[in-house]
Amino acid sequence: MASTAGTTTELADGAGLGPPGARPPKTLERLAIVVREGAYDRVLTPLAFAHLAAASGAQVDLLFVNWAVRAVMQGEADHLPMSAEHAQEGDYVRRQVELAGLPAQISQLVASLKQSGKVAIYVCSLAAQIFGATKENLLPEVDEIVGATWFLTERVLGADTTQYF
Amino acid sequence: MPVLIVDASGRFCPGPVVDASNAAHQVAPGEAFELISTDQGSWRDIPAWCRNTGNALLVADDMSGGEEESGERRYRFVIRRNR
Repeated sequence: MASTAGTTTELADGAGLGPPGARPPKTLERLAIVVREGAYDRVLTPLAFAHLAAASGAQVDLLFVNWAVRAVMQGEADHLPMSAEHAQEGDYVRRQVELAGLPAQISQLVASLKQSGKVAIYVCSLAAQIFGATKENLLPEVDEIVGATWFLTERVLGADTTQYF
Repeated sequence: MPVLIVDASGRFCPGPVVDASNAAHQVAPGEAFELISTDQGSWRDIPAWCRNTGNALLVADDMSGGEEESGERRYRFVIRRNR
């Protein structure tokens, strides 16, 4: 992007900063996210996307599957291991996350997601069975344990886009 | 004239966008708020956020000046809540 340092741009109503003549982009209204990676550094990305999408006015539906279920379980969410290749860098990453202005604890990130009022959090029923997740030991912010077929047909199908992490 | 000034300096994606969303809920429709950001990504993020939420970006001010070589950025946005 060309440098605009030291400039003030006053914009007509509704104008953006893109190139002239560009087609106006679609509006993101629904985002579906499937999270299967349970490592601390890996789960940060879908949570960040959920945050910014909700802050942009979109309804966000998250489905936690596989190891990622632990990211929304009490007693587990704040003790996730780092991904194997970065196992020795956990302290560094957590410190950097805090310096970037985000809570380092996953449970706090999840709690702040729900405060937007635009995020629904689901856990896959098969993953719940495999990893011992129940309504009682999931974080209170989790809405429901659901089947993946429901999520696929009721949330992915109606989403503007779906992300897989 | 902004009725609220939010300093998101030091916060990075998605921080400035979340701060903009929170600020929009604190002002009345028709009122404007100012957002300061040092996140390089916010130069595109904030206009995109305005577009997606239907709010008006009135001013986008790149105040980075001589810090370009160091990579430090500083932006000022003035946004009017439309609804």
